[in-house]
Amino acid sequence: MSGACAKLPSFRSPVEPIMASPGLSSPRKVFLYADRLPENASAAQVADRLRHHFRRSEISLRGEFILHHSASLEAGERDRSILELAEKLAAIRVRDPEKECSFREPVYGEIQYEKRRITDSGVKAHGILYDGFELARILGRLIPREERSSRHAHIVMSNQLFGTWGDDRRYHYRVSVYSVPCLISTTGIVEAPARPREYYLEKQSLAAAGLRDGSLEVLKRKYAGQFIDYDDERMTEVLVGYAMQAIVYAATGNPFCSEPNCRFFDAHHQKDLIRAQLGGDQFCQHHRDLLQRLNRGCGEEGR
Amino acid sequence: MTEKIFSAVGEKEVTRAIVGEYAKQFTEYVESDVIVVGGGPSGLIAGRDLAAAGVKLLLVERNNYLGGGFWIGGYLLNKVTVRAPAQSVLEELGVPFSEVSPGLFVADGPHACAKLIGATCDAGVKIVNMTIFDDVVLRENNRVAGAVINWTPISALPREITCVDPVAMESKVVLDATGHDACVAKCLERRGLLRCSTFGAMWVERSEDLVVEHTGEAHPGLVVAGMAVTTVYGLPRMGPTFGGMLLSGKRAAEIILDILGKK
Repeated sequence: MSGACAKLPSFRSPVEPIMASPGLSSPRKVFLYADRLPENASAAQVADRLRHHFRRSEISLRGEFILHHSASLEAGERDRSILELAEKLAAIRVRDPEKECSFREPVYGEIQYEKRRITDSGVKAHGILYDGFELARILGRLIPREERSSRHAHIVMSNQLFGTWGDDRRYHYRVSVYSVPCLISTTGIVEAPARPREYYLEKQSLAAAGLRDGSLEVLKRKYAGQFIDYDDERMTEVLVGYAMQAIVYAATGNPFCSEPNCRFFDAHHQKDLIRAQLGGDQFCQHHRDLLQRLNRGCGEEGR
Repeated sequence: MTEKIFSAVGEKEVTRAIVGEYAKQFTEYVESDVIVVGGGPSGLIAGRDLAAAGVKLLLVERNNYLGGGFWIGGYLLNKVTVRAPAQSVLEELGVPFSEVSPGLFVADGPHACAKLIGATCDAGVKIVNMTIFDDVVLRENNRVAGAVINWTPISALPREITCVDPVAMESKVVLDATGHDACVAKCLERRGLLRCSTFGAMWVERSEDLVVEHTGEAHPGLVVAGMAVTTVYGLPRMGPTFGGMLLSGKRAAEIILDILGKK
């Protein structure tokens, strides 16, 4: 599968955000959801860093997106709602990354799996590819009316892998999908931006020789530091950058920057991602100014 | 006069013992809580955990030996590897193993397999070997409620003389642990009750995790474990990743206990 999908990191909805602010102001309330994050990713630290950068926004940390928005339902209604969601999520699995519409009616077991994934925090696997736009659409319908406005931003950080159909007629893994809610995938951070070319060549050789337990770990150790891995201590810092992009998207409709050293750079390779996200809080002049304008009025300039 | 080592028993007593004991057990297990189809690592560990929890369980194996591919690792070499945390199952079974690199453990295949079979039998699992799964027993709403079985050699007979009817065994749940063949699930697919995926939207690096987490009830009354999971859900086919099989079997046992209301 990994070879079948070209790798690009993030994507913005082709549709302009329905909640985009008419004027330039950061959303008053930002809800950050921590949904099956790996142990090395700290949602609390991400929230703290966002508070530092967006001083006019109230940053709240919430738990898992679906459970949070189902909590107020009565038990029976919640069970029905979760089953319905499980059916929808099972239906948006990308069955074939080479086909635009490879969805099909899910089987019983796939629905049961999605149900377990929603209700059982022990289910942590993240190898299934979902359609990113469809996923955002399904989740977006759960947001209550009072939280659906330009004053609110919802950012879901999860290990769920998603992709979007590209112009080259293939699905691409994505780090993020900017929509309502914005989705950021830790699995996407690891898998979407391309690793060094030599890594893939060696991996192909290993696969040809029959990839065995442990051989991939040896290969990863050889290229350690050159890409973000699942248990990477740097994951939290990378999440901060993408969460910032999500807030700027909510404020301006454009999360990206073309300047490679800026944290808003849309990195397609791991080396670019590492440079943009782990080089300290670096921003291009445009985004420095933008952050200052978004923070104007709080008595201190954001950097 | 030389004293005999063995007691004086005639052929007829031996035959009576074999037939009588087999018939007694077979009659008792015509109805059970669970039928496990397939005696590889996932079926064995699931059977062992279920029987240990007091579940009446019959395991059906088409070969005369149990263990599936667990006797040997890759390249016909008899060392088996598991990745953390599956070494905990080896520990549980009392199988000696060593850590060859962080998170990767190796054990002797024959020792690990023999221990697993022993533990399964010790827990109270009853086994019918040289027996093939032939069909499912269906009840209301097409719920799986048993397995139709026959002698394995029947399948090797010429078609003209294979009018040897199978027999049906009833159970509350059937576990498909038949490996890539996914015999039970495929049987439901032939009846139009289940559709197995031909292509999975997953990638190989995480496939072992996915097998464990997709282990579950694929159709009412049918739980799927081990490599059969990859066939039903179109997950990438894996090499000899026994850790995934063992943990999938354990997960299947938990799910079946839940279905039976014994959790």
